[in-house]
Amino acid sequence: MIDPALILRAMTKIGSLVQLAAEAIQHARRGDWQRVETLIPDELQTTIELRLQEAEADRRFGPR
Amino acid sequence: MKILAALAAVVLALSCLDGCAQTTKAARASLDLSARALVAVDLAAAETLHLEDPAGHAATRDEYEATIRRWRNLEEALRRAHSVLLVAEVSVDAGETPSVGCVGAALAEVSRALEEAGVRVPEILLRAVNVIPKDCTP
Repeated sequence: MIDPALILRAMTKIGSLVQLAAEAIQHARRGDWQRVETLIPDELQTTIELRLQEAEADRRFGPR
Repeated sequence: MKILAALAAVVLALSCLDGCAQTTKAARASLDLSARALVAVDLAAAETLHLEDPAGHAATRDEYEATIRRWRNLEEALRRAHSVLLVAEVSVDAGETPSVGCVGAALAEVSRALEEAGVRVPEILLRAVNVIPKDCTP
């Protein structure tokens, strides 16, 4: 059984992604742009989350 | 005769200035769209990985490894795309023709890794993959 709170969070996330896409299209139409280094952080959120997962796995199962 | 040659050179240079400016503008717009797509993908992937929580749910190391492999692939694809974008931006800054095709190829790889990881591909990434060429010849 999926937690309703998870569904709500997922729907909120999808909503924000749709908004982001709309903003990007508007930017492209206006012809303005931002630098890559301004838009993307030095360290990706996925890298941080993956590192947390690997640390938790090492804690539970022992180091690889 | 020399004056005509000089005039021709000036006309050529001016036409190049306009054309080059348009090329740079288009490259900047492609990099902007790609960077925004990468940020959207990164947030969606991190959120999904957090919710899936393989380290918390797996019963054994083998089970964990079977699940986390596709996430490692996705994270690697994201980092590679990030690097390619930064390199392309340096090319544009230097006034060179950027390898936008390599950006498109890297984004297509991210899209494949996302599907493998079971993450919904954000609309902005689909758009970027559709509009940016993917012919990467480094």
